Amino acid sequence: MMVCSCSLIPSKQVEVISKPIQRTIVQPVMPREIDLKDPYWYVVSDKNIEEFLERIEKEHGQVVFVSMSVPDYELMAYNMQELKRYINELKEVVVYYKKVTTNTEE
Amino acid sequence: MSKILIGIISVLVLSSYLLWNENSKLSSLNQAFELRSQEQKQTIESLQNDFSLQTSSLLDLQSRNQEIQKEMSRYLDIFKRHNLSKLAYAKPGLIEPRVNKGTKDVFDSIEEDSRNIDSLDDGLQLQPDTK
Repeated sequence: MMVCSCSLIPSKQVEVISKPIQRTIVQPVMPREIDLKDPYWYVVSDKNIEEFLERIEKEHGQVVFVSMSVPDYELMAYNMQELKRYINELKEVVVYYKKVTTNTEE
Repeated sequence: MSKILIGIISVLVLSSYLLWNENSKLSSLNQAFELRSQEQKQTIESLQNDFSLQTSSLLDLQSRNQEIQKEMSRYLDIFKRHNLSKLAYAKPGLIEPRVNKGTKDVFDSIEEDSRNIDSLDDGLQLQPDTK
């Protein structure tokens, strides 16, 4: 009785509880929308070159311009489409990360 | 006789105490195991939900990327179907407004893509609408 007397007093149980917690990730503000200015393309062949030169001189005061061949124009169009594709795909990745890191319980 | 009775009672009390003590320990252990089991179930459920969300979102992402690629191919196909050099040479006055309209349309679509970032995901607001 002497030996077990201490155990007669009921001791308090210490409960250790662990549970998974959801991390809250602060979402950054999205960048400002793109604001593009439209350039003007002149289409010139030997059928209207005289008219074009007169028009350029009238509109800009002097005959000076940067020219581009039709295949190069097509390359520029391709490049624009590539940029558009990249922006859109990157945007989808942003949406994905936003979706999987947003706490849905809130 | 009374000594034997006291002895029997003492043995009974002692064994009852030992049994009670053992029962308490087992009860505590049972509670702990139940708690751990519940935690594990919650963790597994949480992991499964995360995995499911990531899988469906990745599938959405792949599907959208395919649509984007198709749209790009459709646009560039116009150049393959038409000989722009020949058309521009023959009718420069006819092609000029079309080229400018095409450029404007592409620029507008890029602006629109950057503006409507939140509309790609149902109800998920990434950016407050300024308009």
